[in-house]
Amino acid sequence: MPVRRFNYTGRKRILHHQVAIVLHESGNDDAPTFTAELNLGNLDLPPDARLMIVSQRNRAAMRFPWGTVGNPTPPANCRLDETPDNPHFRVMALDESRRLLALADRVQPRRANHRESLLWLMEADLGREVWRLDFGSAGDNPTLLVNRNIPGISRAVRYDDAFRGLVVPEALRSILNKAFIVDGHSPDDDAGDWGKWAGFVQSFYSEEPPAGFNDSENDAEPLLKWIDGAVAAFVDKCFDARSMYAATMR
Amino acid sequence: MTAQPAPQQICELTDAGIKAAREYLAKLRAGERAPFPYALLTDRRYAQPVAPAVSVEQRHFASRREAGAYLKDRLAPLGNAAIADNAGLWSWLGMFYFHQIVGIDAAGNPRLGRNPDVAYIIDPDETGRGARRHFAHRLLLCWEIYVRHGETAWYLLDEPVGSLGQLADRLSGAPEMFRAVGIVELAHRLYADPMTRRLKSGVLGGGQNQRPPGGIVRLLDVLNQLYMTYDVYGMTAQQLLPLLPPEFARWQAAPD
Repeated sequence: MPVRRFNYTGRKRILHHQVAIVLHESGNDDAPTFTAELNLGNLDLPPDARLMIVSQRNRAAMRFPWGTVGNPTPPANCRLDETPDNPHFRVMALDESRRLLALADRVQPRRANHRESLLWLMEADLGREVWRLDFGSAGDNPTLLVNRNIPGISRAVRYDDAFRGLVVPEALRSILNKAFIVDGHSPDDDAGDWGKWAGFVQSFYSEEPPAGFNDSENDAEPLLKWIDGAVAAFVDKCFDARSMYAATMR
Repeated sequence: MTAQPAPQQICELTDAGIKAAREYLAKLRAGERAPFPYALLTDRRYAQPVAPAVSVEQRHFASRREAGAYLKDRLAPLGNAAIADNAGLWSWLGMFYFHQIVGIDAAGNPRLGRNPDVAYIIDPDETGRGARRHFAHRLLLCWEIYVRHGETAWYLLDEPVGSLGQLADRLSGAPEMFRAVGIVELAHRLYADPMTRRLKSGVLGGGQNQRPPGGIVRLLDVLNQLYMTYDVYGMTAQQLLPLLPPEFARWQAAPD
C-alpha cells in the first residue's frame, strides 16, 4: 500500500527543473566547485526567506548559505571539499525559525564537463555557412559551430539523422586531420591535448596506424587513408549505436 | 604478545589488506589463538602509504579525547576531506592500534566480544545500512567527535577508546545527526550532567523500557520528524529546544 504523506505546514515543493546546479571540475586534485541558479519566482515565497543549499555524499554534508529569495547570494567559496565525489543537493527556503518554506531534495547536478565532452556544440554567426569547426587554442576541445540564424539547427544536430549523417563524419575527419597530421599527435597516445580523441578512435577502430606517421619525411598519404578508415568505421558502428553517438555529441 | 611495530608511516589497507584483516578477526571469533598479522601494516600488498607522508607511533590513549587529539594532529596534513571517508586509512589505523581498541582476556589474548568488524576495519564497498554504521569504528569515532564537536561533546570524549557506549551508539548510528553541531550540543544540554561529568540517570532507559520519555532514542525519533519541517541539521541547540515536545521538559529542567 502506498505511504500517504501529509504536509501540514504548507511547505512548497521546488521542482528540480527550477534548480540548475553545475559542478565545475578543478582540473587538478582540488575538489570541484559548483554554481547554482534558482528559479523560484512562481512559488510566492517571502523575499526575505533564507536560501540554503546542502551538498551531501555518504556521511558527509556541506552547507552553503545562498542569501535570500529576493537576493540570492552565493558564498565566496563553493568548493565541495567534503563532498567532492558525485554529491547530490538539498535546496531549502527557510523562515527566521528555520522552518522549511520550500524544498527540493536529492537534486542531481549537471557537470560542466566540457573537457570530458569530446565535441562542444555552439550556435554562432557564420554568415552563409551552415557549420564550421573551431579548434580554439592548444588544449581546448574542438567546437562544432552551427549557424544560429537557421531555426532549430542545434536540435537538428542532436536529433536529425540526415543532418548528422552529413555533418558529423566530415567534422570527425577534420578533427582527426588536425590532431594527427597538423598537430602530429600520435594516434597511439591516449595522453596529451588530443589523447581523448586518440582513445575515442581506438574504441571503435582497431586498424594499426601507419608507421612513421608523424615523421616529417614521410608522406602523409597513408595516415590520411587511415583516418578515412577510422571515419568509415565510426559511421558503420556509431550511426547504429545511438547512445555512443549521443555521448560524442553531448 | 609479539613485539609491537615501530612508529611508521600511515598507510591505507588495500582490498587484500582488508580481506586479510577480516580473516584474522574471523579466526579470533572462532576461538583461534591467531598471531597478529603484522604484515598487514607494512607489506605493500596489504598497505599502501598515504600521501603526503605522515606517521604515527604506538601509544596508550586514556580516552577518546586523547585519541582524537592525537589523530587530529597527526592526520592534519592529509586534510579532513581526504580523511573522513577513507576506509583504507581507518582500517589501517584500526589494525595499527588494534591492541588499544580490543579487549584483552586474562591470558593476554584479544577478546572481540560482540564487537563487529567495523569497530576495527571499514569496508570501502559497503553501502546502505552498513555504511551508516561506519562511525562505530572506534578511532574514526574518536577523531570525528574531537574534530567536529570538540569539548561540546565532552560527555562523549570522556569514554575509553575501545568502548562504544549506548549514547554514542545511538547518535553515531544516525550519521547526519551525529555530524550536526547543534544536535550534539542539544544532547549535551539535555543529558550531560556537568557536576558529575556523567550522563543523567535514565537517559538511556533500561530493562524493558528502552525508549524512556524524553530519552535519547525518543530524541532521535523527534528530530527525524522535525527534519520534515525544519532545517534541523543547521539549527543550534537554542533553536531546537523550543520545538521539543513536553516529554523533554524534565531533562531541560535538570542542572546544566
